[in-house]
Amino acid sequence: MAKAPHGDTLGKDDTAQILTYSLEQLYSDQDHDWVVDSIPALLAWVPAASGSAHEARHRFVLDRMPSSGATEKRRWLLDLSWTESELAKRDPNLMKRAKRLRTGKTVQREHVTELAAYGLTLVAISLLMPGRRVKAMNIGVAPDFLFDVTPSRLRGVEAAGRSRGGWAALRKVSGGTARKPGKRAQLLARADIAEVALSLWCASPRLSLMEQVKP
Amino acid sequence: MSSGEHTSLDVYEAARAAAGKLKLRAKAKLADGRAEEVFEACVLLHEAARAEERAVRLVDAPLVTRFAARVEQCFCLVDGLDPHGAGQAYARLHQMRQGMAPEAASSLLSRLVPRYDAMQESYADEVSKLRVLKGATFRLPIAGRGVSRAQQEAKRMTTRYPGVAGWWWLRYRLDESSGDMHGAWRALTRARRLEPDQIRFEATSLLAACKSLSPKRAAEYIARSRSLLDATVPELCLMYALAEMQLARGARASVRNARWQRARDAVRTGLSGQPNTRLRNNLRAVELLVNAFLDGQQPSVELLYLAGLSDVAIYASSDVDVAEFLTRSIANAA
Repeated sequence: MAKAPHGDTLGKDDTAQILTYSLEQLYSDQDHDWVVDSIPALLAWVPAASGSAHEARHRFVLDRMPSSGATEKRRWLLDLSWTESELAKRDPNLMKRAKRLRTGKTVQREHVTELAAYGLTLVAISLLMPGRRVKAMNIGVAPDFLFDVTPSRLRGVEAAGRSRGGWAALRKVSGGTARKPGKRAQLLARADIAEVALSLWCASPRLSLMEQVKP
Repeated sequence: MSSGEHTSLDVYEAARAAAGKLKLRAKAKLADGRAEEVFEACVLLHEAARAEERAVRLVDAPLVTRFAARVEQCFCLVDGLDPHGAGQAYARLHQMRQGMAPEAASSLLSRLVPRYDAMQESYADEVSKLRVLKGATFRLPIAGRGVSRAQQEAKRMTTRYPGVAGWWWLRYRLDESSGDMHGAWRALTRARRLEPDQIRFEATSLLAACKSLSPKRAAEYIARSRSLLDATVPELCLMYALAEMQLARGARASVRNARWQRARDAVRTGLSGQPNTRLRNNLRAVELLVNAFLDGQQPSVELLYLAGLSDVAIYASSDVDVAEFLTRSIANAA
C-alpha cells in the first residue's frame, strides 16, 4: 500500500490518519547496515499481533508534534506490516536471529529494547521524513541517528523505547521529572545541534511519539 | 565552503558512518548475550572507539565536537566492558571539560556518567574479591599451586569484563606457565584482537605460535609477520628472530640455515632503529647466538655477558642450552 505523503490528510477523521509501512521497504529507504542489525530485535520486541505466523501486522498509535513549541499534536495510526518470505530475501538470517532474541536464555532484554527502538525510529524517519537517510550513529551522545555530521550543525533523531508504560512513560522520557531533565531539555541545551527530533516507542500498548525539538 | 573542506567533510562523514555501523553491530551481539557474541561485541566496540578517535581528527573540529567524540569513545569502552580503557578516556574528558559551557557538557555527559559510575563501582567490587591476583595488575607474581587459583580468578575477570585486554594477557601468561598452550594461545589472541596496536601482544604471539600451533601453522604464522618488521618495532624483530630460532630446531640443515639468516636479518633491522638499552642488549645477544650457529659453533653463556646481559647470565649454569635459556628469559620478561 502506498505511504501517505508527508503533510497530507487522509480519510475523513482528522485525528486518526492511517499510515502504512511494509518493513521490507526499510531495506531500500535506509542503508542496509543500519537495518540488518536492528530489525531482528524489532521483530522480537513488538508483541504478537494480527496476521499469520508468516505475515504480521502491527498498529501503533503515533502522535506527532510537528515543530518545537507546538501545542497541538497530530495523531496517526501506523500500520506496520511484513512478510517473512519477503524479509528473508533481503536478510536470510533475519528470522533465525529474531527467534533467538525472542527465546534465547542469555538474551539481554535492555539491549533488545534499545535495538528495537532504533529499528522503529528508522521506520519513522523513512515514513515521516521521506528522503532523509541516516549517515552516522551515536551510542554515547544524542542524537542516536545523524543525517548531517557537520560539526556544530548536527541534524538527526534521538530514539528511545519502553516495553511498557504508555504515554506516561514516553512523556517522562521526553519531559523528564522534577529531579532529572528529560531528553528534550538535554537536546535544547546543545548548541551544536541544528535540527533534532525525538522518536519514542512503547511496545505495550503500542504507542509512539515523534516530537520535533529543534528548530 | 571550499572544495577541500567539502572533501574532508565527506571523508569525515564516511569515517563516522563506518564507526556507527560497528557500534550497531556490537549492540546486536550484546543483545544476544552468549559469551562468544559478547566478546565479539567488545572487539567491535574497541574498534569503534579507535575509529571515532581517528574520525574527529579529519576535520577542524571545535571543542564541543571533540568533546562529544571523546564521550562517544568512552561510552564505546563502557559498553565494550573495558573499565581500564574507559577510565583513561574519562580522565581525558575531565581535562577537556574545563573549556566547555557547563550546560552543554552536562548534556553531553548525561548518558555516559551513570553508566560509567555503575561500571567502575562494579569493577572495584570484583577486584576487591581477588585474593591471589590482588594488586597483580596483569603481572605474573605467583608460581606453583597459586597458579591454578590465579587462573580461576583471571577466568572470572575475563568472564565479567571480556573487554579488558590486560586480563586476557594475564590468562595467557598463567595458562602458558601451567602448560595449557591451547588456552594460552586463545587468551593471547583475544588480547591482540582487543588491542591490535599493542606491539607487546603481537610480538609475544610469534613465540607463542611456536609452542601452541602445529609446526606448519606456526611457520605460516611467523612468515606472515615478516612484512611487519622494520626499525620502528624492535620488539617485533626480536621475537620474530627467537621464533625463527625455535622453528630451526630439528629442521634439516638447509632450512635451519635459512631460518638463522632470517633471524639475523630481523635482529639487525631491530638494532638499526636505536632501541632502548634492554632491547638492544637482547637483540645483540640473539645476533651473537645466530652468528655462532651459522659458524657451526656451540654458543656459550659468555655471549650473554658480551651482550650486556650479566643479570641474566648469572642464573645460567655452565651446561645450559643458551638459546633456550635466553628465549625463556626474554619471554618471561615480556
